[in-house]
Amino acid sequence: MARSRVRVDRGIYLRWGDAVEKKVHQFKGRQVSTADAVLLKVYDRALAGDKKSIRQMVKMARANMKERQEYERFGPCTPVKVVERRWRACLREERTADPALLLLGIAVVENAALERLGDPADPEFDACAVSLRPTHIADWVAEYALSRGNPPDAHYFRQNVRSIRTLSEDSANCSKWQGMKGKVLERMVALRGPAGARFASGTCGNPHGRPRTRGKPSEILYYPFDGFFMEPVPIEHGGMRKWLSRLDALMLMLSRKAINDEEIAEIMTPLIIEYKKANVEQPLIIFDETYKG
Amino acid sequence: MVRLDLQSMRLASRRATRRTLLVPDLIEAALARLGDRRFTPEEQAIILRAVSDPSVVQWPDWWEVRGRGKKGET
Repeated sequence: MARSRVRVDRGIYLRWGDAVEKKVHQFKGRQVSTADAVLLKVYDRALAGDKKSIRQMVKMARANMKERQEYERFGPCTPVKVVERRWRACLREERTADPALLLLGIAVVENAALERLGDPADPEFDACAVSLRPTHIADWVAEYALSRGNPPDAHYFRQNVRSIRTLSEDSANCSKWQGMKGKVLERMVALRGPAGARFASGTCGNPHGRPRTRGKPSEILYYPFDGFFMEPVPIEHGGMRKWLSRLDALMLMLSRKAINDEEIAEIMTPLIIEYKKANVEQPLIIFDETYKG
Repeated sequence: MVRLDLQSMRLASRRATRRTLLVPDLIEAALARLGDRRFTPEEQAIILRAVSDPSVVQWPDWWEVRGRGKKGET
């Protein structure tokens, strides 16, 4: 009997946000999140033979395999750390120049963000002030950019679909900044300036010392869709009811159909080629008869 | 998103991916608009960290924090 191993992943859901993670939908008698509900519906449609859904499923499987290859390259670093590192990197982005932008008057903060700060006497004020981000560009900056005569960067205009948010376009929404600027910047400089970055005297910067070992890679692997693909599902095979991983079940059903359907065979071919090329370990099949779901 | 705005206006470095680095010209223009206001050394250090090339900026006379300068410079 092959050992069953279920790989759980929630890494990508962090990026999707809390709204899609909440388990608010009923699907086949159990509560699932919005993200899972969408995937399950697409999966069901793919099993029914819908070509568009099959394409989406194959695309997901390829994305999963790409992540798996990436993980192989990371070597001894644990996958948990990989996800954390990426996530923290996302958070750190754009934050470095924020206090400078506010100090120099290049950018301003909208009222909604200032309202979240609350009163300077509140204990939460500091935590909010540290993560305060500018939201609008000052008018003089846009004028200055025009006066420089450089054409706008097409690459970033393509990325930045919305128009540039200047202060004059949304002045009513940024009316409180001038009044609160002094207090907020004072705290921000204290917390994010050179003094705030230093360790206080008597506090060690490395309290636990060097870790003894980096540890073994965790069994919990953080691939984008592994949580979905590696979930056991029952299938009828050779007159018996067996449990397979969802990816294996999908591939089995599709390969049965692909023999008679050229279009499905065409969709599946790139995935098969990539599997062969990459020499990736095949997903573990769960043949545990005792598994009850 | 302010970062993308500045990059699309060519006022922030495109090469710096992890940090937002402002072009020296923008810093000079912002300092010229300050009037009588002076920055404390802590504030100056914060601003200095956000400049792509601090050695190019024409810092005002009252500016104290200059950084280390380019490699090889004294």
